[in-house]
Formats: sequence, C-alpha cells, structure tokens
Amino acid sequence: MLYEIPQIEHVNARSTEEAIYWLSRYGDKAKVIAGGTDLLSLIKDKINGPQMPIPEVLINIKTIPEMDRIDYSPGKGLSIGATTTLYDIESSNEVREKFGMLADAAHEVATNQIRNMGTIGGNLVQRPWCWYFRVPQFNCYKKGGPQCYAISGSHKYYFSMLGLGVCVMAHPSDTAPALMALGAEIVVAGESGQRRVPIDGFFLGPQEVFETVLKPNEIITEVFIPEQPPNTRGSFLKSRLRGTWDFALSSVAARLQITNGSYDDAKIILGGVAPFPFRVPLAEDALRGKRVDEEVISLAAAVAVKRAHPLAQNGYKVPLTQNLVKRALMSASGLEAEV
Amino acid sequence: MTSIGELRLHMEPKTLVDENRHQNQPRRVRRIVLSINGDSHSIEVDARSTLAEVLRENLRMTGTKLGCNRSECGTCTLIMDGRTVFSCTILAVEAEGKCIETIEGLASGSDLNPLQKAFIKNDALQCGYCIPAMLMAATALLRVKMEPTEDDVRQGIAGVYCRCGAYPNIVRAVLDVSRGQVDC
Repeated sequence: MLYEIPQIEHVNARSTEEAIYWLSRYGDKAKVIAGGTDLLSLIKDKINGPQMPIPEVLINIKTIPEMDRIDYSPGKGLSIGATTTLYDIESSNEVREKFGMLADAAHEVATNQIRNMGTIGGNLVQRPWCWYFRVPQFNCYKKGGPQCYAISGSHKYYFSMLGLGVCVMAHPSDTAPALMALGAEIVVAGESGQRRVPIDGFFLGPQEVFETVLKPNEIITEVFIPEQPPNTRGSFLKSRLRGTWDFALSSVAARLQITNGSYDDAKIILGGVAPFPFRVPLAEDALRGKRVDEEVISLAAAVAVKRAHPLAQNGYKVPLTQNLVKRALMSASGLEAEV
Repeated sequence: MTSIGELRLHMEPKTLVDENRHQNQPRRVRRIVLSINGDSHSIEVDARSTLAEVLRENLRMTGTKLGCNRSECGTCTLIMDGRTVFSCTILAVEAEGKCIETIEGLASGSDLNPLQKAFIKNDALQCGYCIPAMLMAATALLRVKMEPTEDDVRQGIAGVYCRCGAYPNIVRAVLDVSRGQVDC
C-alpha cells in the first residue's frame, strides 16, 4: 500500500511567477498541484499516454497567498483566486447573495471532503471522468492515443449526448456551466504575462486532446465574474445517479433577466451532456422578448435538446435534460413546476 | 537555439533570488513538522507520501484507515484546519503548518468522548473499518451544527462509505449526542 505514487520532486511556489518559472523549466515533466483530488488519483493509477506523461515534478500553488481569496467589489464584480476551495465559494455570503447559481453549483460538487480540498481552478481543468480514460490499459484519444473506446463500449452515464466529435466524454465540471451562464472570465498567467479568456472561449471541442485553451506552462490565477444587472435571476440544477455524491448525468445553468413579466435576456448552459459546457442559443432565443409563462418555457426546453444525438445507451439523457431545463427555467422565473 | 526554459534561467523570478533561493528547490525528501492532535512531530518524509501514509507508516498512528486510496471511499477522513479532508489524497509535505486532528485525539486516555460512547451505545458499527472516519466527519459536523437534523447528519457523513450498512445506527448515535442523550 505504501507509495502508490511514483517518485516525485515537490516544490512550494511562493508566487505565480515562481510557479510559471518551474513549469517552464521542467516542461511536460511538471504539473501544478492545488487540491490534488484529480491529479493524485491519475498519478496513482499511472494514467499515461503519448500526450500525457506521468508527472515527475509537482509544483504546489496553494502556497501562493494571493490565489486563495474571494473579493467582491460592488458595481464591478467578483474575483475568485484560482486555489479558493469549493467550500469557501459555496459558504461565502457574497457569492450566495449576488451569484447564487455559482454557490449552488459549487455545493453540488462531490462531497464535503472533496469540496474542502478541491479548488475552483482545478474544477475547471479536471480531466475527463471517463472510465476508459481512467484506466492505464486504454490508450484513448484524450491521452494522445488513436481512438475513443467509449463509442463502441459502455457509455451510459458520464458521456456526451451531442455527437460532436472523436471523443464522447461529457465535461464533468459543475461550476463551469454556472460560470458560463454568469459570463465569467478566466485569468491565465504564462511566460508572456497575463491574459483574460472569456469562458465561452476557454473550453475546446472533442477533436482536441486537451479540454481547455490552457497551454502546458500556463496556470489559472483568477476567475472573474462581472456584476449582474439587478433584474437577473438564476438557477443551477444537477441530476445524478447517486444521491450522496456523483458527477452530473445532466446539469443546467440558467440565467434570466426579467422586466415587467417578460424575458429581456436569457442564457442557458448544459453540463454533463457534451464534451464542454454547452450553450443552447436557440433555446435562449425562444425566451427573449416573450412573456414569463410555462408554455414559453416548455417550448424553450424542447428547443434546448433539439440538437441531441445520443449514443446507443444514453438516449434517456434527452428527456432528462429537457425536463431539467424546464425545471431550472421555472425556478429562475419564480414559477412553480407541476410535479 | 535557446529554448524558453534556458532563457528563463537568466531571469529568475524575484522570490527565487533571495536568501532562501537554495532552500526552495524541488525536492524528493523533505523534513517537515506536522501538528497532529496538538503535538508537533518533526519527520523526514518522501515528497510522494500521502498524509495517510505518513500517519500510519512513519508515525504508527493507525487509527486513520486506508480503503480505496483514491478519495472515493472516505475511510481516511480526518480533520485539517477544522475541515474534513481525505488524507489519502493530500501530500504530507503539503500538510505542514496545518492543524491535523485524527481519531487518536478524540478520547483522553482510556476515557472515550461522548460521540464515541454514543456509537457504542447505539451499536453503530459492524466491521468498524469506517468508524474512525465516521467519527471525524461527525465531529466536524457537530462543531458547526450543534443541533443537526437527521438530514444534516446524513449530509455530514455522506463522504464516508460504510459497506456493512450501519448507517441507521450511526445517524442515531450522532443525533443522540447532539441531544445530550449520552451519559458521559
């Protein structure tokens, strides 16, 4: 049982600059560690492939003081340091009051222990929770291998229903759909300084090996959410197999702006059903300008799953997601759904 | 051609160019001080050792159990800085400076604490392997919620698996303590 982790070197970075220095110096031998809940499991299971060497150097970024913070400035927005734990986010009064959808999403992640360890940055860059990816025997596409094994294999639960490309993973993050609905920006630091990436452009499609635009020697330093207009209402709902804790079979983040009983604007993001948090603009259009009404909502929910192209075993996700969208929209609109 | 990495060697960040420069290098072995149940332990650990491994193997505190070793079963749950964590998924070198509480710290001598007594009184265990983790999860819960509902208790221990299925009695034991129904 002793030492399931292979020999590693470890360094505590004391600044973002230093972390990037070590990352650049050790190249693909090095990985950044924050909560470690995903990374250490991958290392213990010796998951590797042509595009996925087992790390030999771990750079701890939890020791960078300015990365663990939640700052809210009224009128501007919310700035969350990358190593802030999910528990700190769900239990922050400011997040709960002003960006409730994010607090709900953070609360839906795994279990107490994982939320006490796992960070917001890590939640965004976690690798696929696909059972072919998570065993060393399959040299799957996401490790740099030739093909996806889930398409012809078992893909009932944590897989895409949107048939978008080579790999059929479903993006596992719960906070990502909420952050996308809130129009967040991801602040990324690298060799040439900082850049701000709108979250709509942060995740890549399944034809890419990596899930995000993050380069090997870049790290997330901050997640920024702009102040929401006063008439904004939101809802995050997640459906899962196991009640106590599990990844999403399907999740929905809905952000609505309602004035005088009609929708000014809407943003609907689906999680757990596509290789990246999936925005459904046509469903948003079905709400915009319309009266707040159950029929309008039902139509938008039907439109949200119109592009669905489920795999052989996960067709059930289509009605599941449709109903989840409806429930999220009803709740954000302040309407009671008929059970 | 000079690679980016080599270039950076000549422009090291400020934090590296101080007197600690040589101390802050990636290392395989490090001497650390762990604070466990109020006692300080200075030990040399392998950078790859997890907190659970160091507790069990180096410090011989075997109260904390290891099950899956993959942050799934919850058997290695202990309290770090007041919060429950999976000690199988924390590197020991990263637990330095944290306040660690394990099952060994609950009883004083042979005197069990009320929660432990409640577990015995309610027959809240079968094989007992998950019980240290259950006790630590319940301890953390009772500190923030002195009068938890049954649902709170179930949420509080949700990260720990009991394969025997002793949950009803475990929940009853925690509720008993919160209602003061245990003779201390």
